[in-house]
Amino acid sequence: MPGPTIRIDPRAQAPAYRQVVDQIRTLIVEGALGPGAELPSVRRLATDLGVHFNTVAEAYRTLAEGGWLEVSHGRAARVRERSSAPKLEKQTERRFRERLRHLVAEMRAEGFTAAQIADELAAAASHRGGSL
Amino acid sequence: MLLALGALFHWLPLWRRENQYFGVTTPAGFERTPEGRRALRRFRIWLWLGTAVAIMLTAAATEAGWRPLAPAGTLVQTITVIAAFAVVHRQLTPYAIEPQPRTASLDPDRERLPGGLAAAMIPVAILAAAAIYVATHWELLPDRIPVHWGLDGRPNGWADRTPRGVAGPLVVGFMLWGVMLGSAIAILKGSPRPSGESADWTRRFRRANLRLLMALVWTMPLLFAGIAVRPVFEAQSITIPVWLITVAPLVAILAYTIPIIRLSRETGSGGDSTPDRCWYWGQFYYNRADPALMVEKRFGVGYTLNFANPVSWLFLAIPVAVVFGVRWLR
Repeated sequence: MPGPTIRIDPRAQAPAYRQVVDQIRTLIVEGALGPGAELPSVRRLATDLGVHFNTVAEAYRTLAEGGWLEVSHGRAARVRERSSAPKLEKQTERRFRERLRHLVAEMRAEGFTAAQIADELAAAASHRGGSL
Repeated sequence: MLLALGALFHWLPLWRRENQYFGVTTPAGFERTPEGRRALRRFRIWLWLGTAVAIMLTAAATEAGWRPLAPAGTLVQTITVIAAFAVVHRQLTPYAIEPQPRTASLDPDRERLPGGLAAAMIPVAILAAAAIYVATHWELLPDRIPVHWGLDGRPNGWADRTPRGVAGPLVVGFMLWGVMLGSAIAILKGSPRPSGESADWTRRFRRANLRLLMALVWTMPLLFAGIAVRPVFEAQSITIPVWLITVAPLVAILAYTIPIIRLSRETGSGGDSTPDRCWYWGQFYYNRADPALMVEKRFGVGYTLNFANPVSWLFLAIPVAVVFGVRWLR
């Protein structure tokens, strides 16, 4: 069975490395990539995505710094075991609340109703995937 | 020969991914629209005009006995085809759609060469065995050794009984083995793996190409080992028919190319997700941002080089070395 995939959208506002970081982190959080799961090499993933090696190397480094990946020279990058969720700080909470506000405003502007937004958020929070 | 090539080029624009037409990313079924039909017609008119000129040139050169002018016909036909494709490519650019975003599997790279890398070394052992056999039967070799044959099966190229002349076919066989194996490894390691909506088609296309190359990895050394040992066998009254030596690579090429052509006519193959702007004349891929060494061709079936990758120039140098190898052999 084919494993999880990620995609790079050249039209997206986020830079390519950020798209890689966000998608791999989402797959780890949702359990599609379990602890110990081996990722393709930087060279392999860059070739598959058609992006520069540095883009993928930077993404792996960012994920390693965030405690999501184990990266060491000459060995495949692996998903790190996270024993417990990190302690949530007030500042982080505020930052995410602000991002959520902007996202909700954008969704309302695109025609989503409040109920639809609530449903999508609840689905995303429980890793079920929404109706989108 | 020129007519056969003309017939091949006549159909070649239709052997491609469903969303690629004359090197442009177009909607599926574009070739059935009036613009699509017009484009193909234009290409074919130029192709056959070029082929007619090429045939006349070759005939005139043969008639007048101007041997150096004989390849001019092939050159005229090739240039016409490249130019016609490039012109039609430019005319279709306004109909281009955005390519699909690139997707990638997060599975580790576990893909292997068909038959395995270790087995691909056996043909080298066969070449080495042929070299030892010829060296140990040196006195049986004639003064002039046939190394090239015409379509009628008669030899038209000879080498002298010198270490260079005798080893020539074996060296060429070794170089071709290297080119074929190198190309297979380059596709395996240096081209994007199947992923996304058309992953199944890409997987089958990739395997079919790898199988063709690996068949050549085996048959080319066999062909040249056969050429090298043939004079020694003949001196012992054992005749190996030339057709028997050449039939193996021909059968391999045909048997493994037909599935690739069939795949190229299937629907549901989508686009290749490479940016159109990086395809010069719709045929040559040059993308500095893409680390791939090989990508699928947009004109013809198989893989081509990403010329922005410095390793691609090394790949171009190898066939030049093979050509010089053949000249050295003569």
